[in-house]
Amino acid sequence: MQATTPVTKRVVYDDEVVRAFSLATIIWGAVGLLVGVLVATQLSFWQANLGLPWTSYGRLRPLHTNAVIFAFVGNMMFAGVYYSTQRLLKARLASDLLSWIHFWGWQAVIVGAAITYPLGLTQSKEYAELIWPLDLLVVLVWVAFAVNFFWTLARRNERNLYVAIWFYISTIITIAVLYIVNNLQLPTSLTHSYSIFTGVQDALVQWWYGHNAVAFFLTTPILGIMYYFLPKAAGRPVYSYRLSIVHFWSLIFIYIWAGPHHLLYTALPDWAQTMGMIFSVMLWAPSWGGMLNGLLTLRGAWDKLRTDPVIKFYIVAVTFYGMSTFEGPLLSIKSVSALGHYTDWIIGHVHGGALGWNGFMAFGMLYWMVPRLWGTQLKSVRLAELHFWIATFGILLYVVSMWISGVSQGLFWRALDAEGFLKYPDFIEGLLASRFMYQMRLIGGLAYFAGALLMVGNLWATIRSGRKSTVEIEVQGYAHDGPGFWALMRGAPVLYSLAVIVLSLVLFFSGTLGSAIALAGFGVLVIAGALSIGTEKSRRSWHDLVEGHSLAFTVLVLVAILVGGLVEIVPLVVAKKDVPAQVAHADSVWAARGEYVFVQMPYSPLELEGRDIYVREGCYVCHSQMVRPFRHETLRYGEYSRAAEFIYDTPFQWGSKRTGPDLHREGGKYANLWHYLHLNDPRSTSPGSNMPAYAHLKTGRVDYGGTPGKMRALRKLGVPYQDAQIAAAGATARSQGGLIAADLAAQAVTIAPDSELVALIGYLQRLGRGPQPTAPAPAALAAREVAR
Amino acid sequence: MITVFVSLLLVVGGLVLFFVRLHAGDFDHGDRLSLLPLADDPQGGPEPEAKTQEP
Repeated sequence: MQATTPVTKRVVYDDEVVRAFSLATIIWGAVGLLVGVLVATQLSFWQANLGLPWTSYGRLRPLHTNAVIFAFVGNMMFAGVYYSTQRLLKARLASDLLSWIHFWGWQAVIVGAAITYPLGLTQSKEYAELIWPLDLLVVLVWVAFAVNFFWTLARRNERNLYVAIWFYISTIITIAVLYIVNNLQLPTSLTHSYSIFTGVQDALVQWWYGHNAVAFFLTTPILGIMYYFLPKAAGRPVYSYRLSIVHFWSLIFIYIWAGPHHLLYTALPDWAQTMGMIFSVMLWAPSWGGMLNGLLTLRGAWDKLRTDPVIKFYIVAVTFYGMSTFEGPLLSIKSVSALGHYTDWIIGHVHGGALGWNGFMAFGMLYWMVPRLWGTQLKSVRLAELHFWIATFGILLYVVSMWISGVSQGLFWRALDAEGFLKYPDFIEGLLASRFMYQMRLIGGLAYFAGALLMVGNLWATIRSGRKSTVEIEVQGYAHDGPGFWALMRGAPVLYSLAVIVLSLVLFFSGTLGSAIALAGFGVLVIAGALSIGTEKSRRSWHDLVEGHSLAFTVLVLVAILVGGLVEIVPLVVAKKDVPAQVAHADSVWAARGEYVFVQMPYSPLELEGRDIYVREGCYVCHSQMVRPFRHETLRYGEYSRAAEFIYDTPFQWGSKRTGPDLHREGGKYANLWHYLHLNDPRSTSPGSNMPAYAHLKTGRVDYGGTPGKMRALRKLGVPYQDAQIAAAGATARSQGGLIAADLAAQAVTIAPDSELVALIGYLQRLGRGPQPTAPAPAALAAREVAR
Repeated sequence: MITVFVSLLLVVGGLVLFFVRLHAGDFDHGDRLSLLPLADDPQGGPEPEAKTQEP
């Protein structure tokens, strides 16, 4: 690279957009926590659903999670990134226009979510529920953010990128990859679409995204913020810059593999589950390395913990980071997951991360940054102290009550009596036993929310007492004297890593001779590596040079995060053709030859529309559709779930929480009348239930005019609907709905055949019907297989 | 068996890379960089008020 002469110049930071993101953090934080308090109230007192479709738990829970993740933590992240990046690079943000497109675009996404979720417009993929037009807006806003950020990197006046910047780079790159892949979908209308992935594939891609939304939206940018703001507040440099290098690369490489731990003991192939578990356990090391690096930054300054509320918030935040990153790998061990999955333990775990780690980091950052942005002092340190203690009490009460509730639920569900049968066969008993802990959780959440309100008042008074300040610095540019991109890519660590990977692949896939050659090559590599120690001539090390080249650094980050995703996802995507049930269908040549095959039948038009209602009402937030292969689960629910049964499920509805029982084998378990009564008033059939009533489904009507379009879209995704089936969709649905309505009429219930309630009953009665035999299967064999 | 073997190879390969780079000084340049966050902003003045039109 050609050397340039450093010149002295003046730089004025763009803190206006930082102020805007800070205010958005404060406002949306309060809103997100308020919705959290409301949904916690609904879980304790079902009456808080208000009997309205727009305020039912299934629709508001995604609003709460999205508000906290994307509105509260998202805005906080952008404020912190923009504030610290300018100062670490000694450069103003590259484009004021892009900064404001980023700000207003993101607020538009949040407002869009706040409107669409209560209306039931959702994809039903957790933390990715936004409908496709809003997904497009997210992508555009993210591109504006990325361009602004990398353009600023290109205009920087500091040669090396500080560790915080590395974490920001990994966030921008990885979230872009995750968000785009997980939201690949086929629209059927302005507000409705189908994921291009189905069943097991959809589940894997979703949790690859879902887990890494935690990793790269809620963790890596906040770690970057920690690496900037914690030393700043402590007045001490980070404990170990060396450790931060190891922390960064190991964390981003390992994190991306861990997604399948959300799917342990499901129908996901066992190798993927095991891989997810192993990499999750490996995460212990880098996570705790980062936590210790943060905590030890306070060495020699621990006295500030007594007097400075900012340090208090940071230290508790980092401690919660340590707790959460201990608990996460623990829960990823298969035997622990068997107990904890689907229970409130997971809820406690995520709130420890979101409120303890992210929330406290946000509070500490705001208390430190807002007075400086408005050129004044914090209005009341005592109020900030009070906020700290109330919030700490709140989050501890919340997490502990969920731990107790969750472990109790896990033990309750698996308890068997002396004869080997379920000790507590009625699911509702466990819910009733959890009620007290739900109320404790509500108190904890209220305390945390009250603390946040104190902060809102305190910061508002602070802002009113000051005036917006501008920061202008004089900087000296630096000489671009490092090697170019390709020279860095040919560096010894890159070539060595490539060689090890190639040798591993040869060893894995070749025979004896190939393995012998690979092992010999590996031996040569190790010896060459050992001999190379101390021979490097450059005065600057390779990593030092890479830190000075933002493109090279970004490409290496991209490679590091792509490896895990490709290894886990590609085999499942290409394995699609090997699922026999998807190859054959009812009019296949086998049937024509008089031979029978077992095939998974697509949903009928009525069931398809009923499924969309199930998705719209957010049933998946409380009910799973995945019976795990445990005796206590098969006793309670029926045969364990198999991958082939989900090949036409898009989006998949496996769920991640059982506030209510699993529904995968619900079909045929109860009469239509039971479902009618249950949906109309859950407590009429399940006394003590906290499920919202869905009486509005009686009067809602299904528009079958849109059904053929949905079936055509699904056919493009591989569902074997025939032209005749699509043409007759409306009539078929009305006919099937008529049968259900007639059955209910025989029991003195009058309901329209095209009501939403009938469609939902049609879907629920279909659930769990596995592959069916095509004619002419021998009757006895067919009956046996159907029974399975 | 082969899976275990490949895993061991990757682990050993990773450890060799780490120690070689440790000796190459990849982790030794952070003294100045770790001080970057500690630089304070110069005392910033308030933004100028929007000018009002004199009657």
